[in-house]
Amino acid sequence: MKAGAVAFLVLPFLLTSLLDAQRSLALRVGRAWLGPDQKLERPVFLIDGGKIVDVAQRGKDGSSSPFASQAERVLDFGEAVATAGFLDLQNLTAPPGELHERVESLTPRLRAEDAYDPFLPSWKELWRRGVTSICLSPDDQNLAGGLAAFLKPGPTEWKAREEAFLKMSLTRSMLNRERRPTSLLGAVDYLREVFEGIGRTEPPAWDPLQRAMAPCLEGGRTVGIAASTRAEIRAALNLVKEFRLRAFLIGVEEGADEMEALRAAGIPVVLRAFAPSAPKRALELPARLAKAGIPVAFCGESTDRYGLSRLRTSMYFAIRNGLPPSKALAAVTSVPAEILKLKDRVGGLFKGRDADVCIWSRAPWDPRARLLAVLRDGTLLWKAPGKDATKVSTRTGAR
Amino acid sequence: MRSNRLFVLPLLFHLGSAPSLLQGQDSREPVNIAVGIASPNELQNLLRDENVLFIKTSAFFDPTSAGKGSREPVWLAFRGRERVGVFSMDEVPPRGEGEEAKRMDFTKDAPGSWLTPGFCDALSAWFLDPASWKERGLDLSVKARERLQPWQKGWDELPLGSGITTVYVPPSFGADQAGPGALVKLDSGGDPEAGPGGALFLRLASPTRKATNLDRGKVAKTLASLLDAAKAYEKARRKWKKERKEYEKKRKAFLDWYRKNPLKPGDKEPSGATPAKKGKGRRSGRRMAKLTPELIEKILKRYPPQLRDRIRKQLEAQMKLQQARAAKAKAEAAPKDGKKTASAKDPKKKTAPKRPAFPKEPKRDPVKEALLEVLAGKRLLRVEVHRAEEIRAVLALAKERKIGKMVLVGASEAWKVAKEIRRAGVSVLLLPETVKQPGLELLPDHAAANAAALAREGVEFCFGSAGRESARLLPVLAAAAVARGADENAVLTALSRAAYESSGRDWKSGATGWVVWSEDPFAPTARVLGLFDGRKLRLLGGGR
Repeated sequence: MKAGAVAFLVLPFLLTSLLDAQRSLALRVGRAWLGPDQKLERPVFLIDGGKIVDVAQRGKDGSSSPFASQAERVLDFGEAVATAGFLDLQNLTAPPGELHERVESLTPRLRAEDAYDPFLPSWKELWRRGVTSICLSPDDQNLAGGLAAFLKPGPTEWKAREEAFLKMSLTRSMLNRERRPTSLLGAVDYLREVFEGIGRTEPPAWDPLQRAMAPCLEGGRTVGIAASTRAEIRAALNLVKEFRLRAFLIGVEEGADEMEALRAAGIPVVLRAFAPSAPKRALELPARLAKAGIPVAFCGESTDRYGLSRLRTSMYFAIRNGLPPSKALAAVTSVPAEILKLKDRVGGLFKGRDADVCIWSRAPWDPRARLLAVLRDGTLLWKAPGKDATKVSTRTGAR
Repeated sequence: MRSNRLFVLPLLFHLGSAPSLLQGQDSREPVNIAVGIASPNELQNLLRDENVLFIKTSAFFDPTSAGKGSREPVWLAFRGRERVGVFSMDEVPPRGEGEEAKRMDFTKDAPGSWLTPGFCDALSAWFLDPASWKERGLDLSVKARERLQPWQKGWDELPLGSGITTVYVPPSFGADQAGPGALVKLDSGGDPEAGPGGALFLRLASPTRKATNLDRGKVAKTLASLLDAAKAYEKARRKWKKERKEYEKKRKAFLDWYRKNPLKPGDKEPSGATPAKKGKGRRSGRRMAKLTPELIEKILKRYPPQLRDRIRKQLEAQMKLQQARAAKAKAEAAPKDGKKTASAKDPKKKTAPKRPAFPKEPKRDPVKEALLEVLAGKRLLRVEVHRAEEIRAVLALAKERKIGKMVLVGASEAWKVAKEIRRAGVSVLLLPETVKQPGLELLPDHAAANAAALAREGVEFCFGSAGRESARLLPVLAAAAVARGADENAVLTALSRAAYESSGRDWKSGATGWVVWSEDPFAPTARVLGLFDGRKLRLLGGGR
């Protein structure tokens, strides 16, 4: 009975989404940031099968209208600005306590996907903040918490699209007196013991733990290591260097004091979205990292006490403290996509990429910008209420 | 200089030594400015005044003026904090002989520069001891000014980073009642200056505290009972003052009489001088009623029948004792045979007045006195309410009791009753929401959306951070309100004049100082180029 009710509620939505995704669409906006450094005035996107099939530019006087004859629908947003949908690299949206394991600290085989609930109301909150894709990730309470899942959350997505990265944590949250490790040095030693054990034995002799950790060695599987303090950052960088891990750091609150080491390592850094009361040093960190040539991303979209988007507020404060706007946009689009090796699919509005598009009234880092609509895989996912949102025309009425 | 340490090129110019940057005439087209001084003579007077500073920016905003400012380049003249004139480009001549006023042209380095009043955080936790943030049990007499810690560090980021030059600090956040807060100016370049604030605070509802419908219905009753108590207190004080005046009169007459008729040796001192001393017993200070057989019967009805006989005997004995005492007193007072009383000897003494007793003063209550100031319209009252029905009830009470100055704090559902708030003429102080209680209906992006709804209805509103560093979010919040359809001028007014006035002080031009921005103050790339507090123009190196 319950399943029937759920199917009754979800099926129309799914069918509409599928049908929408199948129909070709011409999307017109005033300006688009194809990538963080590439801007196009008066673009038209031809979207088909959930992908951006082609991108063209309209004439200044509106005389030329590319794709009008090819598209079954035309969405015209006037002078609005389009960017790629945001990618939240470490999202922890799950029921409390569902994204970590309490008994063991090394649980690399766990899959965050298993804690994914497509019907959480929080997903809609993410859409209306411009987040179209996430990595549902284990939290910081395990030394190796498990595999993060790349997915586009909501009722249309029932399982993860990709295995994203192995989440590790060297932060204090991981320490637990009732299990190993109980200190930072113990944690590093534990990891070293596992990695060295893999090297000493042949694959048939590996235990399940070693089998799960082995793909990380020699740059196989991407590893995300949460590290906050200077000691944790140094320990993480040592591990990365010693075992040649393909890694990125998460958190890095005291990164300003380890700039040289971070620059030398050259690995990306994923900063948690700023709290309103963050110290000035934290606000300046993205600019300092970017200046040092270190790729920076933001993660942890949620609603703050004012109801503002934390990713956008982080972009604003990072720019206010010296980060170029293009780098701020990259921090929520192309850099996370690059970290996940998904740059050919998400994080930009180039030909061949997924049609995950956010339409803004201004540049998204401007706090006066309003999100007008969100398209995901070519489907209109969310639309701002009010008359300024969109002007939709069908092929018959296409100009 | 402490406040400039974050900047690459920190400069501090005293107004007297500020360099004059403008040497030639600007070639832009002249514009008509609605505000300003029309008379060329007055302009000449300003140019000759060494206490006047001319600042040129590409746009300015001033909530004091009717037009709220200009989006065209203008010269603004300041004497102290006050803006004394606005002049279009062609009105101000090139620097000439005998000119004493200082000039500062920001449009050369920053073509999109803006000048706005300093922003004000209408509820800040700066300079309060963090241990006292959640302090409860305060009352309306506790003043913030006595609790401030001006030695705290880190506040200088606010004026330099976000243009917030003034903060209003309450005595506490946790208390349901708090006395006047303090307005602290941060733009002076030195230690913060605390000035008098003025608003009283009453929390009638809280979004973090669970409340039933019944509790919510009592919201207006709580305020009404406080006001009633204040009124009763006022009445008692007025009565006492009247009695005291009478006492003064009687005392004068008493003293005059004895000055004319001084006591002779052997005369008795005038009676009624001192009030009866209170004993230590349980019934001390209370006289037993004069017992009569009827009264005894009445008293006995209160007791069970089996005890009545015993009590009757005791009361009758008491009655006899009273009668005996009365008879004895009467006998003593009566003149004895053949002897005249003192008054009979001296006819003047018959008219001797009794010494008047000083009327008992009602205990002074600073809480009620503060509330009386609110009722008299001398002090502003901040009332925290959240739900629409609570707001309605408080507005109705304010109308009934004629509370002139009131600010609604929190007011999460103000968007539902914006029209009624506008009609009541009160403003709203919007705060971050901590916990959403069931039944509290918040809009998405609630604070910004609430602000936009209020702005559309013409209700004056302002923002408070209820924190310290988080005050830097206020301009972001204001900008988000613009995104939701609020007028930009209304939002800038909210950040400056409305926030300042919500502290209970009247706004005047330049009350929060002035901030020069490199561009539109809401743009994320905008930097604070200068802070002008009326005495000094601090030039900053762009902030990066």
